[in-house]
Amino acid sequence: MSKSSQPDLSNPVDPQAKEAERKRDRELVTRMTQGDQAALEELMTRWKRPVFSLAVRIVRNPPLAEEVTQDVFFKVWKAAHLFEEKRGAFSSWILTMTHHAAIDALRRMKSRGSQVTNTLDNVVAATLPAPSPGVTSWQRLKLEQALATLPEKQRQVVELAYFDGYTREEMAKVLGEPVGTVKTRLRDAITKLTTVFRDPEAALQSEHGFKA
Amino acid sequence: MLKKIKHLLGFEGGCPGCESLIEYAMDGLDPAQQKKMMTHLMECSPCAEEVRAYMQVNAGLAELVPETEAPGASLDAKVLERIRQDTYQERCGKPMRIGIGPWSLFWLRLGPIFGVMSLIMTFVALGAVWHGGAKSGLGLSEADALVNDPLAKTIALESSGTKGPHGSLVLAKGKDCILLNLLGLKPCAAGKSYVLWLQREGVPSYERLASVHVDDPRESSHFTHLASALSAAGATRVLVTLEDMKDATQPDPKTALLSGVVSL
Repeated sequence: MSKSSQPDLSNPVDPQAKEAERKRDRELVTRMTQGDQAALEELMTRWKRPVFSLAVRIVRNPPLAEEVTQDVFFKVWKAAHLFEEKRGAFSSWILTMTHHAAIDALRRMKSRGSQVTNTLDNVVAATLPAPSPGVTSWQRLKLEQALATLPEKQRQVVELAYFDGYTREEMAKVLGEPVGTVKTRLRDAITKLTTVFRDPEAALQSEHGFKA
Repeated sequence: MLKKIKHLLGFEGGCPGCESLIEYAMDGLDPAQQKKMMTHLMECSPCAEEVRAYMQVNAGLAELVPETEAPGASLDAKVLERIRQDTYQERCGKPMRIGIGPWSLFWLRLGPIFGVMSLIMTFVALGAVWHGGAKSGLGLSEADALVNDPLAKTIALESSGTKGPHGSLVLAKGKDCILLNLLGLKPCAAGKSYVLWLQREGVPSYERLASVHVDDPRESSHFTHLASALSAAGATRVLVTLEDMKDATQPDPKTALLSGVVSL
């Protein structure tokens, strides 16, 4: 399949194209629930690069990231019937699942092979009970700006928590700070970042097909 | 407002504080805590709404990761193979085995003897090849080659009844062999033959793809050669019928044992 069939996550400026991509993802997931493996193959062609990139960013080990990627697509096939388009975007679903699987793999690696969670728990956790409705082009742009304006220490805890899977206690140990300080720092940072998604202007701009 | 603040600080109705909700959204809770939180979120819409906002931040962070790398080329084939094995295991309740009979464990226990015999046979075969008289054609290695072919597809075969027999068919474009897995066919007695029929797009009639003879009723996987390499052009549907009429030129889809959708 051609490269142009991949969803372009690096291009935040074309909401109509993004909506067309979302529609295609929904169609493919529907076909997968009917046992259509060709739909899975197309979905893999479209999403294996973003999934693998996120997995590599988290586990920092390409062979392990490839295992995570395989795991994610296997789960997508098994749990396609759990995906409800009205409850969230496919992009959020698959990337949330990738995050769960990668963090799980990372912890499994740290604990020398012991199983941390059941594999299908990742699917359930990505599906219930609070799926994300997806990120619009405008929100993505605003999030990037908000992240850039966070104080260095706050950005550091966001990265440690999201990309490195650190618990509050682990972050406190690494940073040499009290757990309470880390908790407060992370809470403040995330609260600032969530304002991007609570901004009525962002919702309005996304509805009217904002072009930056 | 005060209610919401109390809620977020965790002082109301046993709700966790926003820090725990953030930790849940960031996958920072251990499995037991995570399950407990999921149970709570299914019952508490204010907390679920809060987590939803945090999850959106996560989705945004995930999308900000630059796409710099691509996984290996064999990824798709590995995923499809895993699905095929999983489907088989779900249907028969045991891991898939290709071309290995029920005596396999017995033979494996005779490892050393088996090893020596294999060595002798290898020398004999090499000798035969050296003299130009040997031809390859071991079904097991061919079945493995088919299953591991990146172009190989597994098609689910279903009967019309929900609890009827079922199976799967492994085939690959350009290959002159197939692997048919028949499950729950009763009686699947020795000496019976099944016929595979292929229908192509826009063509009402079926073409006879292969005849599969069952020698051992305990064996569910059957590897069979085709008359020629399989062409993918317009293939849409496959039927499996019992070969009870020697002169039948067309199957009756209504009485077919199994049917499946072909996607090559």
